[in-house]
Amino acid sequence: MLNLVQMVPLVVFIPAIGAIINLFWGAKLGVKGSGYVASGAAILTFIISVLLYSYLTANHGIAQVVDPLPFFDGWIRIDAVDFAVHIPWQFRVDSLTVVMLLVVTGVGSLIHIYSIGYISHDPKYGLFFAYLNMFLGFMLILVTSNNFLMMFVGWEGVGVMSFLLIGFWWDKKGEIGWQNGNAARKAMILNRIGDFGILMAIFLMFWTFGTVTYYDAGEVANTCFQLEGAGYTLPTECESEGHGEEASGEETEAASVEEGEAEHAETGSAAEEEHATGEEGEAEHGLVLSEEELDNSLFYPSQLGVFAQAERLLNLEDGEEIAWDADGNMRGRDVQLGTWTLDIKTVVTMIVLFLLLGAAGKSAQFPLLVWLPDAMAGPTPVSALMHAATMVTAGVYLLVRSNVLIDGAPEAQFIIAMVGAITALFGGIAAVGQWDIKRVLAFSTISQLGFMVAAIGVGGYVAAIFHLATHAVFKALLFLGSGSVIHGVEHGQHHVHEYGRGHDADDEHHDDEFDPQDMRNMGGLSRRMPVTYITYLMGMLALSGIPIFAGFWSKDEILAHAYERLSTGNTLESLGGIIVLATLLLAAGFTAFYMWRQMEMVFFGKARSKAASHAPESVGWMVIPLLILAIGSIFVGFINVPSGVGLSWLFPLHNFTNFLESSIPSITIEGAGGFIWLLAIVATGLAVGAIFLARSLYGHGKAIVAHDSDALGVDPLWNMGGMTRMLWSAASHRLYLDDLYHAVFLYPYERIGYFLAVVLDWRFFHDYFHNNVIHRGFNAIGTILKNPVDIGLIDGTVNGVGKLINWFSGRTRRIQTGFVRTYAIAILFGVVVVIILMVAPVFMNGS
Amino acid sequence: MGFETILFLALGLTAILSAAMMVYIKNAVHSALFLIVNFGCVALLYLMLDAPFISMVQIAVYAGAIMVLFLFVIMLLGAEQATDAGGQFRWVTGAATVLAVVFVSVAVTMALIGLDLPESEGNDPLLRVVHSANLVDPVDITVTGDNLDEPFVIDGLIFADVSDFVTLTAGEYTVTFTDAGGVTLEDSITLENDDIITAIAYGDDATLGVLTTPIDLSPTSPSTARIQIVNLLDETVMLVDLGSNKQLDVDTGEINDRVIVEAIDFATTSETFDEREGTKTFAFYTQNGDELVSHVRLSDWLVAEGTEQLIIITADYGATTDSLGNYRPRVLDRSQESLTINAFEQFGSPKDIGNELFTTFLLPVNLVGFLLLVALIGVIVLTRPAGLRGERRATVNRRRKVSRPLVNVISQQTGRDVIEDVPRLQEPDSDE
Amino acid sequence: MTSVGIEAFVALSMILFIIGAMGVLLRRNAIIIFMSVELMLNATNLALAAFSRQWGNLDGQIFTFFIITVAAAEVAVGLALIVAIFRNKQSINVDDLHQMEG
Repeated sequence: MLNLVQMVPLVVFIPAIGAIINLFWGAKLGVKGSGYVASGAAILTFIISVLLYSYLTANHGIAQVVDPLPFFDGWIRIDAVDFAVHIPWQFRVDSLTVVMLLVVTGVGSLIHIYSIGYISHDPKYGLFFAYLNMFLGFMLILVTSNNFLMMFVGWEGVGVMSFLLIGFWWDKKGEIGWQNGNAARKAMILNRIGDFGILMAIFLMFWTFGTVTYYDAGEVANTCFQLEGAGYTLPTECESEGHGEEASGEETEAASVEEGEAEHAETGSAAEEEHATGEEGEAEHGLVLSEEELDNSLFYPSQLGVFAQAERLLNLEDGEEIAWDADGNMRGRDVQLGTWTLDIKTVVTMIVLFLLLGAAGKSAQFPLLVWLPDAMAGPTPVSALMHAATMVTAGVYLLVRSNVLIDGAPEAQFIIAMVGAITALFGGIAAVGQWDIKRVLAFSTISQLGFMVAAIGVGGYVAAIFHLATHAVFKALLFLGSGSVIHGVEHGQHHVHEYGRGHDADDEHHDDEFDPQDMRNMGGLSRRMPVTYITYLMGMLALSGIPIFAGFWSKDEILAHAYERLSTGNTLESLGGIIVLATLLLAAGFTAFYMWRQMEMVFFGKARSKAASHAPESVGWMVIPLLILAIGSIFVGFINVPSGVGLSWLFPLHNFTNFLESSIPSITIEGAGGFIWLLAIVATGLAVGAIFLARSLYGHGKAIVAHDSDALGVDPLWNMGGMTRMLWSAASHRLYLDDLYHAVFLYPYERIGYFLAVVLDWRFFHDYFHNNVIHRGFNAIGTILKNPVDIGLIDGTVNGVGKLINWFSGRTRRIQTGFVRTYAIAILFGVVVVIILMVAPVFMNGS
Repeated sequence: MGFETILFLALGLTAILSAAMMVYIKNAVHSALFLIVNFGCVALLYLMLDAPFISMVQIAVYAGAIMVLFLFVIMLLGAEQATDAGGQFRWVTGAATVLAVVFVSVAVTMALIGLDLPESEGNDPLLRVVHSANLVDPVDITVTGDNLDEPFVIDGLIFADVSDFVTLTAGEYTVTFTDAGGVTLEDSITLENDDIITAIAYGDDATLGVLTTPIDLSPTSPSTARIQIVNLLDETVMLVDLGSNKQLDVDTGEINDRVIVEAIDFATTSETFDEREGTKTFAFYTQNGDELVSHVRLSDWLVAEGTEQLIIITADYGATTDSLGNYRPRVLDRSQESLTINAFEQFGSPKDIGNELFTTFLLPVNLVGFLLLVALIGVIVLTRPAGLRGERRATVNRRRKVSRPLVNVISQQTGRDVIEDVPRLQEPDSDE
Repeated sequence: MTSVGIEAFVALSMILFIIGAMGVLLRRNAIIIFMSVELMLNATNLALAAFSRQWGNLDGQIFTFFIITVAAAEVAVGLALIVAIFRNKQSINVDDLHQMEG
């Protein structure tokens, strides 16, 4: 049966076509044509994503698995006697995938359009658009896959594209090109560390469950959700999954949920009143599916995907066993791993920690975060698309996708929360000390990714994805805005060169010194670039979490989740909650602070360079995406308005949570964090306070303080001296994490390399060993071999054998008469002998 | 001494006589004609041996094509009266006679008394038993019958186990299932030659019984497997092919998926049906009014071409009951055991042989085809007129020189013009 | 089916085989020798077909089929050889062909 969902392979196919066209014919198409092809591919995928979204909403969010190549019978298939691997190339369309699709293709399309303007002066535009499209294709493989291995294909694919695009300008002259290449290599190497984690997780999963599929076709991810939708009485375990919200004294909230969600509540109460599998459904549908159809009990556990298998095993008692597969095997909690027998919970914890390592690599979490600031060496649209909006969120997506496993490993979840919290704070602090406009945003991205991971650590999967979506919009906006600023400053610089006076004839030399990304060279751009300014302000407000703007809603939901953790009664969860809450509030304050510092340095005050004072507004291709994203930054937060804020008359409440419920089993509407006024006021207060603090420090033309130590000026914080100066220095040195890595890993590595190359290989092996041992040894052995051995022994033997054969053949050649019939009778004689030998035993036996 | 024997004797004697005459007679043309007679006799003997196709090939290829070729060559060479003159190796005649006598005496004796082979009278019946009843494991099965000297016992069958096939002789038998608790279950069956019977113990305490079902092993249609469903679940079930999405599609009160078998009652066997090969997802349902109760699902069910599948759906008495005391349905797949028996109806027919030739023996067929091609080319090469060949060789040799590039290389290496040093190729038949 | 046992067929096949062998050994006319070889092949085929029926296994007949096919090729090449030899030696007496003497 062909339906809309069968279109999902196109989201991979179309960017691939675009990439191929641009790769081979990009140069012929010209920058516009090339850009149109790439953007067209991106927009088509966006349209398909919207169609898939509409399909899913029309079908109650029931996930669909699409196997585009059924005739090939799987992607990886090994059928050994006692061992079978069957990994299909399957696409999965569920709510989580569709959300990621919409984010990736939506933001991606705008960035493609923006790139037409941005890259128009670069001769490598064809390659650039090909890479962008290829990236899009791989990213869509990543989010639409139905198993970890196919996801890993996308994961590695985006990694390669990231490498290629960070180092896109590797061919620049001099030190800059070298640095660009280094940045790409750094990203690659740190991501390999993460990939080790992913691979280990996949191996462990395969070993434990015999599959790497998320959910198989026909399997239901969230049983409670689907049972509820079909009007069945909910089993008790579904009702108890309220995240203990009732305990936190939120009765009023719960009541308002029921008011807002009248329809939903009605269904629920009707189901509770009586055993109502019949009447209602019957009137609508006729035949009704049985309950077993929805709770996977028709499958043997071994036929299920990773998550459902893990869930079943985790729910077992100690020593309890359940029927596992069609062959009648039983299985309990024990997992045999080599010579160890481990409890399933230990194994799941290991898997989650390995996944966290992978996510830390890709999503730049502590301690693997050092590559992301350097990745800003790539073109700005790349920074916006990959290193802010989409690729770096793959780790978050992976963790949310693995929510069942994370729920089964609370210790690992605590570690996730810690990693997220540390990263959020780290990014926030380091961003304060940066001069490069994009590097500030890079650390901001790290910080916000930390928010998302921390949200997962406190069980706020929807909050994480929500923040992922809003962040994608406003961070893309900020990056594109910064790209617009850099573009403008560069143009201003060219303008100065062409028309200005008082410069040397040696332009090249000047280009090297002037850094268009350094905020110390900017200032006062709000007048030169009004559209960029306004849109940047929108993005900045959204990022800082000012109410109404997108970031406010998503950040607040994360904080609410952390807050609710305090009252679960579980020590570990409460501890995680309080640490996350405190750290994230602090990080939110830092966010507002460094963003306003940036505003002051870039847009306010007076122009600090001739380039800045001549910077023009960017062209239409670049401005239109900015405007669209700015509008998005204001409104995208309203997709998940929480209850209790008094907006139920305007927006449907918990829309997003509702939508994602079908793919994240552990969440329910009741468990979706309500609005907590106290938290919102504290967070907003912190943000506004930080902005005012930044205004007082950097405002009124004091953004940069002239100082002897640096021609370009210093930060006011540094200028204050004492403790503040130390702290600011630490921030500007990225809290010395890079230096630590250099001292611990790189320096010993270099020393070992020197020892191996120079001392061992060259001096010892070449100079000493070659000359003395090998050369002389061969000489000596050769002398011995030549005279007594070769001439005496070997030649003598060979000649003797030849003579012997000569003599013998002279005797035997007489047998060869040349007459055919003598040969024939010899054969017949042989036949008779053989037959007698065959017959003899029969006669011996007397038969 | 029946007609067949007389026919065989007549044909055999004619074959021997004509063969002897072929060897003895001087005129080669007559020899060839005797050989044709011999081949004809052998072709008729093939018919007696259930080899009609080979018989036809024998007449067409041997008696026809090959012998015509022989006659043609004899006439072409004028070899009708070619003498057997020649004085060497007269001892060969004597030695050959001795060897022939030894060979015939030994071989014929061996053929007559050494081959103590059974006569095919159809295959012995095969029986196997399946345990899918609510009995206490392990269950012992005893097969008794008049033809058996002592009862045949299969020990320790547990739930969902199937025994191996047991070969019995045709006759009346009694199959007894005895469980560990002493409950016995008994059924009598009649086995005839070529029967392949599965005896299944089924049911819970109230409905214990034995069901026997035969297996049809005649060839299936191309690309299909033959499937038979046995329902031992105390309900009427239907079998649905869920299709690639592995979910039951219910649309406006109708099942959108393919319903393979509408209804199979308890303890009955469905008609066999041909199912296209592939990996399927089957599911069993019972329709209670408007509600479909699903029983069990066969995910990734491999339907392989030419297999015979017996799918048994039964309550899972082997497992513990669920909270409501129901047994969970289960499918016992009995498709793994593959059987081949002889279908004598079409043994040796062109279709039968063609089927084998183009499946199992495809590679040899290709090789033989290739061999024939090589033979064709060989014949052409061998029989080319000698005179023409000599002339062409001469012209070719005149044109053939040492290849230029090689000469250049050698010249560069040695510093002299080698053309003078290279001997001209001699014409091979220049001395004639 | 048939009342004639396999032993009779095998014995017949043996006799035909040895007659063919005698032909090869005693005659010097290359064509007759060649025809005797065909007779031997034929005897083998007969035995194969008999065993094939005995065990209800088609492989014997398949093999017979292959032997017939190969024999056809062999006859074509063999006769071509005889023609070629005759052209050179003006004789088809095998005792005249002893150039390969050791």
